[in-house]
Amino acid sequence: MKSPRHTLLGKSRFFNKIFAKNINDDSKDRAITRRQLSPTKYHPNFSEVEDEGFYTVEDSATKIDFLIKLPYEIAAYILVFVNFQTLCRMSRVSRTWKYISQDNELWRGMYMANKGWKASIPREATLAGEVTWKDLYRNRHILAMRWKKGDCEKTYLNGHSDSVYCIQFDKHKIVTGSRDKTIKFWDIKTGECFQTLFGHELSVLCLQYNDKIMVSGSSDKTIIIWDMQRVGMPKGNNSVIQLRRLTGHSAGVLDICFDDFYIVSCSKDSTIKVWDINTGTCLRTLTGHRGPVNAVQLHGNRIISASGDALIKLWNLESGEFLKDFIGHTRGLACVQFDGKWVVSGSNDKTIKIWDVETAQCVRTLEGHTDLVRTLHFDEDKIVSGSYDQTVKVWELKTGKQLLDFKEGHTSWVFDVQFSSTKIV
Amino acid sequence: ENETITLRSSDGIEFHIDARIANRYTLLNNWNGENASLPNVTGKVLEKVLEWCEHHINDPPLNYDNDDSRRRNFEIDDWDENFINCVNQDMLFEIILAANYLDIKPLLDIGCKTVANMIKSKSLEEIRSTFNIVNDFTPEEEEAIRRENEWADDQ
Repeated sequence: MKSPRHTLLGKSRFFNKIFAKNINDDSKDRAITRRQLSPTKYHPNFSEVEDEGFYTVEDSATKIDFLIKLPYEIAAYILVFVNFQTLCRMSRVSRTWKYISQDNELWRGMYMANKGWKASIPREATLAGEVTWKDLYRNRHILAMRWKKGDCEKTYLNGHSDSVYCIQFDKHKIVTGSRDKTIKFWDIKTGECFQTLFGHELSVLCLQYNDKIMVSGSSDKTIIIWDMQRVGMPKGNNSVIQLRRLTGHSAGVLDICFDDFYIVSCSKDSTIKVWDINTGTCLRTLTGHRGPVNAVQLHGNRIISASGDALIKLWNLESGEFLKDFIGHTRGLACVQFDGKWVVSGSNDKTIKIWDVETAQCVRTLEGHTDLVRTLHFDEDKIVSGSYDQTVKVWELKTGKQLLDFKEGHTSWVFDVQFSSTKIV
Repeated sequence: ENETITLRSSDGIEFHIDARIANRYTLLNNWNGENASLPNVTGKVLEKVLEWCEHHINDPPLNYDNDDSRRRNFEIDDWDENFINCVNQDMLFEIILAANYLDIKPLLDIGCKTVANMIKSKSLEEIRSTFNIVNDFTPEEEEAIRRENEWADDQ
């Protein structure tokens, strides 16, 4: 369709002339009727005129710097139709173009168009009021590129005398529970351990904390509630940090989770227990699993549990009623996470399965790990999984595609993993 | 037959157009009548704008409540592309201004997308030559801005 440019130059002048003549003729008429306003009148042969963009005509007289000549709002609106790469290039054209292409509203729109980014705008940004959205966009872009390529710095925390079973982290610290019976607090910036909690008589298998409390479960069959507000205080007063000890399970406590009112725990004894977080009384015991319950999670009024019996079960928190089974894994389950819509589970059959909670159907199976999938964590975009095959892998939630594979780093089984937009621990 | 209304351009040229066009783009109704004339749009430009309106007279009703969906659509359809590629930069400039002034949003979009397309996938020098822009950065500034925007090339 496209003709070579050199043949166009001559022709285009010719057509432009005809076109201009038509316009002039018409403007002599005092009135133009409706019938005359048909496009074919001016361009009798579209196929020949088609390639005649004005931009192929080398004539500086017809060149206009649109962004400067148009009102600012329209100039900025034009930029809605280019991508961030073009915008960045544009800022290098001239001073005025730099100014327009850095329009803050424009970059805000660009930022917000990324669903995943929209959900996690840095809190500093919204508090300060003055936000440079281009900078924010830039930081997220660089971060996204790192997730894509797996560029990362590894930091090792040395201190536990035996395996680390569980972790949780926030902006300032990492908390780990170990087979050495202790829980350690680490400074996330320096990697130094700044506190060690003693209390459990056997391995610490699971923990969860918020600003006020931390709940940990152990092979010693008990659950300890700790006072988080006293972490970082001078040592020697360990007994005060322990608020309460819950007993009732007849075997190791494999996983726990809590909200403002309840603590839910699951155990090797095949039961799930719901506790009152304030009084520490066991409210009810959920039975039904026929193997150790390895993982449990609370979401709203529902509990999801995964067991060595290869089943995932959904329960009502308030009533303790059993709601449904998710059937499909061929061997025992090690981990499960639930966000209200999707359930993601990892199993001894080496696969990760994504389930629709409403239908209880498996929508996708992720294969790639070569051993038991011990732990996983997901958000609206991606799943990070850790396995006994000693790797940590990153998957895309929507497609199930494997994005990253961290092979070196662990020399033994990976027990727990958690991530935020910047880190995997 | 359909009702017509009369529009008069700033330079006094009268156009008799289908009333349905004026109803679609309500601002056009403001200039219906013997004595009213559009202050900012010349006959030459109004003619092109009306040519476009005429072609789109049977389009589905406009729904611009959702600005986001409008922004997400980066495509220009074939007829519109022919239409817009047949005008020079002066006329394109005037059409954008007129479409904005007359609040004919789809035509404004086409104009803006066309300018955006002229910028896309061009080198810096090509952009400058397309719009006749002089590089007014000092070499030091140029280098600093290049480094500032380097991140965007990583994908």
